[in-house]
Amino acid sequence: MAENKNVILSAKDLCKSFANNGGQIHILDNVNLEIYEKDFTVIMGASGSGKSTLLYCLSGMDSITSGGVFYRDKEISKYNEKKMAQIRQTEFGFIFQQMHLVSNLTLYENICVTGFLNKNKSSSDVKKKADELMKSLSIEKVKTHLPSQVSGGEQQRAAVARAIINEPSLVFADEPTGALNRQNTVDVLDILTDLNKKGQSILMVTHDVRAAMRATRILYLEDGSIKGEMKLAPFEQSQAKSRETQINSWLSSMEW
Amino acid sequence: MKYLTLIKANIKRQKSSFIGILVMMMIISISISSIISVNINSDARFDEAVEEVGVGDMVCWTLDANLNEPIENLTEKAEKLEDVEKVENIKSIMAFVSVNGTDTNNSSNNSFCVYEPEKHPYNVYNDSLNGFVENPPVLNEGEIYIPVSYKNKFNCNKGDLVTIKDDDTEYNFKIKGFIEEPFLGAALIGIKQLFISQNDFDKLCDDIDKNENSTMYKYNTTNIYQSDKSTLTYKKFESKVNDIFISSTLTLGLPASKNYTMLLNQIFSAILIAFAVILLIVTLIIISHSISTSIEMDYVNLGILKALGFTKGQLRAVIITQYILSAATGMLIGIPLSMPVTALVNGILVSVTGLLASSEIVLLPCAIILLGVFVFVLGFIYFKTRKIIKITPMRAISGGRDSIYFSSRLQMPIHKKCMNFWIALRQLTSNIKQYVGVMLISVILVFFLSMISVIGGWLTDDSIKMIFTSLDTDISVKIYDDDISQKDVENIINKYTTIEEKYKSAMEYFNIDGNKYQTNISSDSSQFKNVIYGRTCKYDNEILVTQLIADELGKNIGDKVTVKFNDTSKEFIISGIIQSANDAGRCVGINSAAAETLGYDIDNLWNEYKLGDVSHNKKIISDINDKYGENDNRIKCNDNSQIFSDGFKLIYTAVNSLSVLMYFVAVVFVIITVALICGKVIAKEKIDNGILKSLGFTSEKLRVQFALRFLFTAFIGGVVGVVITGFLKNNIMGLMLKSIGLVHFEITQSIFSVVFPVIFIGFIFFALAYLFSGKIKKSDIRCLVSE
Repeated sequence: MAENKNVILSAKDLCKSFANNGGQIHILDNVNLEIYEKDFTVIMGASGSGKSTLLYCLSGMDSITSGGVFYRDKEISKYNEKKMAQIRQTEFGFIFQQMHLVSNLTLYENICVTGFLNKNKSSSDVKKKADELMKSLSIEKVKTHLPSQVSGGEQQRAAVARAIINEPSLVFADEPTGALNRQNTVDVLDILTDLNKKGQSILMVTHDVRAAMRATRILYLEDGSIKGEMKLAPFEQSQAKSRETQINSWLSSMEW
Repeated sequence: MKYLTLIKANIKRQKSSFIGILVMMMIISISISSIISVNINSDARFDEAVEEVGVGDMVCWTLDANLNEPIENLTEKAEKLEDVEKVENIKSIMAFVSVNGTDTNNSSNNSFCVYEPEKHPYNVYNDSLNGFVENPPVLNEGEIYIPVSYKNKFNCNKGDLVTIKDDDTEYNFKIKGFIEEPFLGAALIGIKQLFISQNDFDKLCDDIDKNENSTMYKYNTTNIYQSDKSTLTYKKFESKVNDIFISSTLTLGLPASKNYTMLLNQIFSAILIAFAVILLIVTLIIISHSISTSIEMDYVNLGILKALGFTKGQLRAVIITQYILSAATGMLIGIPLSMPVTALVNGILVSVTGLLASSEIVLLPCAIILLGVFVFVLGFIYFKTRKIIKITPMRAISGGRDSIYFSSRLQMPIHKKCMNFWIALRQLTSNIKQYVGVMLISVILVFFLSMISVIGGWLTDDSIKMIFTSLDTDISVKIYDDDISQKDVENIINKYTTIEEKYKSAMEYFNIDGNKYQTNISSDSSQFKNVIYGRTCKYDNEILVTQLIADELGKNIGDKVTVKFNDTSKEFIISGIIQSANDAGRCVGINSAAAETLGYDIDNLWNEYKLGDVSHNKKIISDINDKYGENDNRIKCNDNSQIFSDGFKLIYTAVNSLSVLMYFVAVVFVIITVALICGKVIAKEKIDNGILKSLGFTSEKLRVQFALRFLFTAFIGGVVGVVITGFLKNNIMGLMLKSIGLVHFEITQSIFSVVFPVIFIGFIFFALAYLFSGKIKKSDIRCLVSE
């Protein structure tokens, strides 16, 4: 299955270390991986395994110690700030655990500002798209609200809309449901699943099995290295129970 | 112990604020201590020096030729007054003098007297002008001691020549040293005492007696000492003495002398006080900003500390101690550091006041004032920390911080075009409170810069001439020889330019309600151009007075005053208030018909000409002198534009220097403000900057947005500053120059004075905010993970 897909993002011998009291802590140790187009890839691992660090290194938000990160065969880990900013404007989208909406912009403006950064889109196109997204994510009623005036679920939906307004090739999501209640978690995962079904590539970090169920591919990270990989069919609600069991079983084999 | 740990941690974390506040409070302390010390020390030195050299409470100058009776009789009469302790008469000579080749007569009258150190032990400055020579050497023939204020004014040194030009004779004196002359030595006093040897003095007296064409005059300088038992105010005492010395040309009392001597000190002090006050305001704004931002950023931590058992009072005490420690340290360091500053200011003021004041710090008054400032700052910090009371552990830990983040928001839209501009505007309007301080500082700075531009624009040759002359004239001609016809003189003028207006005028000292004031006499009363209230003196019983004199005499328009000249006195009605800085605002104006009714010889009036083109003045005067002989005492001409040129230059230089200083100070204040505020704002907006970077904004764009906020704020503040200048400029000028008799102003604000300060301050804020926002470049998007 993987052989038929295009590689959108890859890491070669990726290392990330921090200096600590004269010594070094290796967070990522020679990571080699490929992320495929239209996949919903999930990185799992225990706390401190380095999964968030891996996500941020792959997305260019964090620097790497050695190795390389390639986006469509271009080594983005060598890009300067300006080039990296251009990639973020059009090719990548981000969803954070804490939503991280700009606190003094309304939900609508948070989404539009990201769209405005895309030079290929007109202002009216951006506004039209933002309206469509907010409607499809059921947050059109709170479009003029500030982040602090809406619920966590609404904030995260706005964050999803912001992440996809420029129709990026790849959406990075760092524990997107980590700060949400049960219902909001399901809603946000449904949105991501729908997006993936429409062809959106997603790379998500989570430690929640119910979130990992939505993946088409799961990578297991331990002590800074990829220890295992699981491939899954696209998620269907009707198979949720069996899928959860299947993943839990696989995780047990990984000593989760 | 727990407090100490918290305080130490807070100071370590906010060391830039701690150091910034410390430095500013130190500068405030230095400024205040210096102002107080300079003023108190100068004041004390004036009193001491006057006491040392034995100057009378009042001094009269009477021309020998004008004496209505022998000076000994007048002295005796004065001594018999119960309010007079003693009277001392000193023989003097008035003469035209050049110092080091520069004519002094345009700015000073020079009175020569004998150097008698045993009677009047004047101090002689050492070469560095920072101390006195012990046992000053006596003067030999051909040597002279001159006041120290002449050193800078005429750029002269020991060994240079002071020359009296009299008829065909020149008398040269070598400068032996510079003296501290407390009574007349200040640069602003237009009469100076020069000391020569007894032999030289006697020789000059002989020559005056022998040569009827001599331009030197024998004078009596009479010191009148008020009795300790006398209960009269100085004004009443002066009035009583003036009744005896009717024929004196001029009188000056210790209060007036002190006033003139300290005038520039006071202006200098006012500038320093303004500087200290602005700095205090800036410091309070920064403290306020620092406390507010710290509380917002530490909201959760403070909540946790409360949950751990700290009371609101304890937390408040920690923050108060932290800021007070910084302020108090700065103030304490500032006190000893003000000593060299005081010495520096005193050094500058020596040539202005003529006095060598002590550079020691007057500790008690300084301590009292600084304590007052400290208590004020303490109260302010106490007030600003009240927000801590509202923090509850629950609210803080459950994210109560969000509600105080961006608490107000104006609905400024964000557009794709010029997005940096719109985002910056939104960031500003959504958290306007954070920038109120910057705005206030901009208001203050632009106000001062605009004000100095207004002063610079107002200071034209014409405005200064009008202020210092009372009458508008380009050339003054006095004909002493009956053989010279006025028509011939005017023909010479007409060869070069047209005579637009002509009239006659003179300047004398008349006694008004017992006090001698400079009196401007004009044959054409419409030439008194600076009548600010009422009307000019049309009739021979009308008088114009300055606001200062009106206040001194307690009179107003329509009131009567008694004017006395020699033995004749007459009642005059005040017809108007004139504005003039002549004699530091103590002058009056009457028409020549009025002067004649008082027995004034109107042949003494000068011919005044207002010319079509003043560029030929020098040539006209040269032609007149060539034709009638400059040194023959047949005719005398003054180029009025030339007379005031030195004064103009001095004032222009002073205003230009002040302008440069103000712009420099503004830049310093902006640096301090931006440096201290930027760090806090960037730290507070770390997450927002991380988010914006993750969306694709570059550090460059974020820095521009950041700097634009400061530009907008400075611009808004600047506009307010300019508007305030527009409303207050006339009142402020009046307030500033009241001490020299100028109270009424109608100044128009030039486009330059409106636009330039706003652009300058806006640009400086923008540029410095951009420079200081370099931290944004370093802020890592990873902060979004750790959060």
